[in-house]
Amino acid sequence: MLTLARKSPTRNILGKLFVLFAYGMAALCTWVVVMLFMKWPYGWATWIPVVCLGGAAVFFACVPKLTVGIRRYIKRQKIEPSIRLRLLAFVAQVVGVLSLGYGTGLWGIAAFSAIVLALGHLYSYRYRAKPKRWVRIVIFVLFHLTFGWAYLGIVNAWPQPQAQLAMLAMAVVSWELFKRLNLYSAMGMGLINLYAACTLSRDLVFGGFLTAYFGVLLAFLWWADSEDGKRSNPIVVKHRFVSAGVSRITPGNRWLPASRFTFYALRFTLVLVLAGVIIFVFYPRFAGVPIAPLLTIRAPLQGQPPSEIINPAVPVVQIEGWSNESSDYYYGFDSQLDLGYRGGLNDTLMMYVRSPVWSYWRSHAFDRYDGRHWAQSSRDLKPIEPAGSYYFRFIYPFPSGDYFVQTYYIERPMPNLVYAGGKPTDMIFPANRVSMDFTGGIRAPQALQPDMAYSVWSIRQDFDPETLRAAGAEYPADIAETYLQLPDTVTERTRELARDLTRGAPTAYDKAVALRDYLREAYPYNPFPPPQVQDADAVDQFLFVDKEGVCEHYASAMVVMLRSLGVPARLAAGYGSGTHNPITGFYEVRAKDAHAWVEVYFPEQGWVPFDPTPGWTRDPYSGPMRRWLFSGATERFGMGGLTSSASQIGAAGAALLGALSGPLSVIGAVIGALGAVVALGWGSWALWQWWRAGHPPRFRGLHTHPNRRRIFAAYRRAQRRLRSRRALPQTVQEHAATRPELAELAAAVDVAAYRPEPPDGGLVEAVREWLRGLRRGRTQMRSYRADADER
Amino acid sequence: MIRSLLRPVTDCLKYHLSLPTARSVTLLVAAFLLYLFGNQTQVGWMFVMSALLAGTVLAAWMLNRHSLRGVEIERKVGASPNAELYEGEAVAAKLTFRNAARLLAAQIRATERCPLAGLSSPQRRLDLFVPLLLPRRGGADFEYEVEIDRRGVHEFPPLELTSRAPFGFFRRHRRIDRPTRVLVYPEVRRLRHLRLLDHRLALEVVRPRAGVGTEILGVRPFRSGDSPRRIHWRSVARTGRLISKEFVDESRPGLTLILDVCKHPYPLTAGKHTPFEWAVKVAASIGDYTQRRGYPLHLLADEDAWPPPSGHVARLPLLEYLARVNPTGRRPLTDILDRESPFITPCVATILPWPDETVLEPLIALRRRGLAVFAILLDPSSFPAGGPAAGPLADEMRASDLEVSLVRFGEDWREQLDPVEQIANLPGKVEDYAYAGEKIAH
Repeated sequence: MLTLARKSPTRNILGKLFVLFAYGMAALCTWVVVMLFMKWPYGWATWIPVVCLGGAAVFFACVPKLTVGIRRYIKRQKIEPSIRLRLLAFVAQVVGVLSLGYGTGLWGIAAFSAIVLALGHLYSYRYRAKPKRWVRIVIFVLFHLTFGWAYLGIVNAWPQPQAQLAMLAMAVVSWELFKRLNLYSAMGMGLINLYAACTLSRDLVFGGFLTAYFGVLLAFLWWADSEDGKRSNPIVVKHRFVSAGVSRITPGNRWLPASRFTFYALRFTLVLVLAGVIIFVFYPRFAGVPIAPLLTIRAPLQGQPPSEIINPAVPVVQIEGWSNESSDYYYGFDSQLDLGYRGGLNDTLMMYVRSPVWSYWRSHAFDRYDGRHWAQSSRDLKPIEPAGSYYFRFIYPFPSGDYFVQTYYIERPMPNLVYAGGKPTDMIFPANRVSMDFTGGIRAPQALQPDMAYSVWSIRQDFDPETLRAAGAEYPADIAETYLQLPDTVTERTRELARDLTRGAPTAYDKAVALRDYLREAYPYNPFPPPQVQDADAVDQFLFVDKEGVCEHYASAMVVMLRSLGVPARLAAGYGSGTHNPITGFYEVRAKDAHAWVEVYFPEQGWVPFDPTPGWTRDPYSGPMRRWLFSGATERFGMGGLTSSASQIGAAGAALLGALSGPLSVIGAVIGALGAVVALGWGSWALWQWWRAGHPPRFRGLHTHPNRRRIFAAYRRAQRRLRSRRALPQTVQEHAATRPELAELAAAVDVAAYRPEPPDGGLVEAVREWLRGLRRGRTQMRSYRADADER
Repeated sequence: MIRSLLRPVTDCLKYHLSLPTARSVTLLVAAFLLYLFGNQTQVGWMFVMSALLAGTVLAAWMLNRHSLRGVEIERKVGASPNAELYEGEAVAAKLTFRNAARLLAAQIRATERCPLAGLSSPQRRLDLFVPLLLPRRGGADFEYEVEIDRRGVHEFPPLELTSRAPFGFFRRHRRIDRPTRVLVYPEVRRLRHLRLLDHRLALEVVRPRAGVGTEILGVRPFRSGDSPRRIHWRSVARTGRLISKEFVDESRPGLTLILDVCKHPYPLTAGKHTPFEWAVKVAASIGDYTQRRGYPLHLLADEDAWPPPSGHVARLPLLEYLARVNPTGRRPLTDILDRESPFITPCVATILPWPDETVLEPLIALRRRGLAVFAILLDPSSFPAGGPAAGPLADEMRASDLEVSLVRFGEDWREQLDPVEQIANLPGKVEDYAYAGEKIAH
């Protein structure tokens, strides 16, 4: 953009306007990105980068001298002649495009981008010495049009418009790769594409792209250094290899024996992998406040959440009777849960969850049991209006506690239930409004679609048994009325069993634990239990007839028994945590992870989860904050209370860092701000010095008197008008000898420069008049009173 | 001043540590940014990418530390270690790089500063690049030819090596000091004829002993082998030591070459064409001629400043002396002539790089003693740095019946010492005197 401005006066103005326009376009594009992609929770904050960039645009356009350092640096760069480096840069960019194509499935756009990349590289090489001006203008326009393309994609709900922007923008910019600096930028853009792809990556295939890119990057850096070495040290010394005592030059002096080079490469790779693994393993991780996922937000869901839960699979997969078939969809994600339904769940990946904390991902709960069905006694939903752009608060003011953030990436059509772990307090969700039922379940206006993503802030649940034991048994009236309900179908033997099992349990907590443990130990899990007998109580059939079942049966049995003992309980539904992948950081939640468990009410503690299903976590509280890779190792590998010294050391160190994260973040912000101010100040000073070095004042130290300055300024102006500049080693008189018309002015300059008394106003006026005359073609200075000179 | 104080520290850092480049800083910043974004987005791959970037820098540092450790160099100048090198000649130099370490050394940048080359010669500074260097077996050779600019003792400075391998994240410096001293003799031009000597008798026999003639030249300390009849008893009585008479042998050949090494006010110049340098070249050429013709040569100069080899001077000692001598003496030539006059051979060639009128009388005195005196004057006014004209002194000498040659800059001094028209009068063939490969040195 800067090089398109010309130097002549008229075109200079056009050039400045053009630069202003260019920066304005850049500011506009930034606004598009910020407003539509980033979805910051506070609307006013979105204007900060726009104002900053716009202000910078105006500033730099109006004061182009401050960019002179940048322009000189760019001008000093030489044209890159190396085909090898260009090829490597092309490969790196293609790797980035392919990784995005794989992550998004947009192979058409990826292929188009790759073709444009190839053509761009060819053009850049062919016309590297003299690029065509009209092509540069077209590229400039096309680059900004890619932002418009992304905007259209957002509005029309195209898939992954941000990813398309990344690919297309990189392809367009590939037509401007003339210098080594441009090739470095190209490598950087490839890395940005990889960054975008890694946010979409759900599996380990991305590792292949990452490995390929790093390989190409290292090869690029190696050859770049070789080219630089040959450029700065033009005498290339060829090596000689001694084999069998005979010294010979290796063929073509190009290739080393593979063994030697392989050893070198292996050594580097080994150190790299080892260092990378160690750094990755011991990286402390903090659950930061997420900027909403950049690449997965689509057009928001419209409408009001209905009272009925929308489950895309219902009634297609609901099977009565007995069935050993499995499906993707869980019938528990509905307004009613029928304990008579049978059918397993398969391994279909339903969603990815990124969370620093292990948890169950709860959707909603049921409070009313009629002997066979669970339902919600009230269909009323409390609407939640957004507090910002797609930002919803559930609890305000925010209670104190340990917060963690989960981000959900939907892979399959799901019910309009918003899953959340812990105790959700607020969230960013792509909808105009959401609702909450009386059990705390969050509802979306429409069913969740693939590629949708949202984030939830929650408080970790960490219940202490002693605290729960001390909670007492004074339940609020509404809780008791709702969550102690039992139908008449509950049999006496069920109640008696409950009493027997809890005979030695003094508190509600002990009762819950006793019932839970009994169910886990006494009843084996069967994913395909016998069919439900008509008109029989489901819990009674499970406890005394079938003696096996699935999670709903265990949970139902525990809830019914607790209610029979006067302890409020309800059946919660959702997904288990899924499988955690430490590389990607995701919990992979599959259909078979759909689950039902129990929530028991404790005064002043709220609803505490229990899981009576064997093979699942007994106390599905939120796990510890995952500060580093091995945070959950002890639990995952069933070590229980056994903690390794390594995990203790790491956890202690990371915990210390975690404890300091709050103040560190403040200190870090302050240091960052100070650093930015210092960097800006130093940068401005350095640029100023750089500019001064290129424009040394001709008569340094003599600018104290205004009359001297005026005469010097007139002399400079005269040189510009005559287009004859005095060379630095030349004196004014020597210069005047080559331009006789400057003779009188040169005398005045000598007076101004060397006479101790500054020149008077008469001489200044005479010089000015002379200058005016020069414009008119007269080069004779009028005489003036030379009293001062003759002194 | 601050820089000079900090230089030891900076040198220590530069030559002992691998210094990071802008590339490593960029990668670490990128790693940090990815780490921050990873914390923000909780994307595990970002931590992986950040770790890889940081690990790359770390791995590069570990390899760069040892990149130059095992590199050795060997330098050879000339065809053999004892090769005679002359000013103005082209000599082949060879620089061999070897890597004694197990680890591959690569992308080595070296700067060879050849002191033999002229200041403006491209061989003065050779920027070399060694892309790859095999460990242990093999190496890399660099051969170049350089035209030797000046005589003297030249020492190659330490070789500076730099490597940014692998991948340019760190820069490693190393200075290898392989002292290579080269002695360059002054330029010698083969004279075809030197009338000072060639007008004498054709037969030249080197007598093993001095003083076998009949005319007494002077006295000297007794040496074993002297005849007792030659003892000068009056000097013995006076001094208490045995003193012999020295006799002049008119038929004894030989040339005494007198070189004025006094520190005259030569104009300061960095150029190599100065009157003294040309005087040395003339002396070398004359010395070469006498050696080829079999004339014994004696060398006379200020012994306090530059003691010449005593007695007959062979070819190599003469060249070695002339390679090193510089005009730093404090004593004028007249002092030396006055003191050394009893030991002068029949032929005397005095080379005067600076017109010193005070030498006229001593030379005339030598002439009166029957010695053949030849004065070779260099004309400083003709040299690039300027100086007084030697023409008037030359005229005076000629007027005093001394043989004078005036050598001006830009002219071939062989023409002055050996005018072309005299070749026809020489016995033998012209080819006997031809100098193969003669050239004009400017």
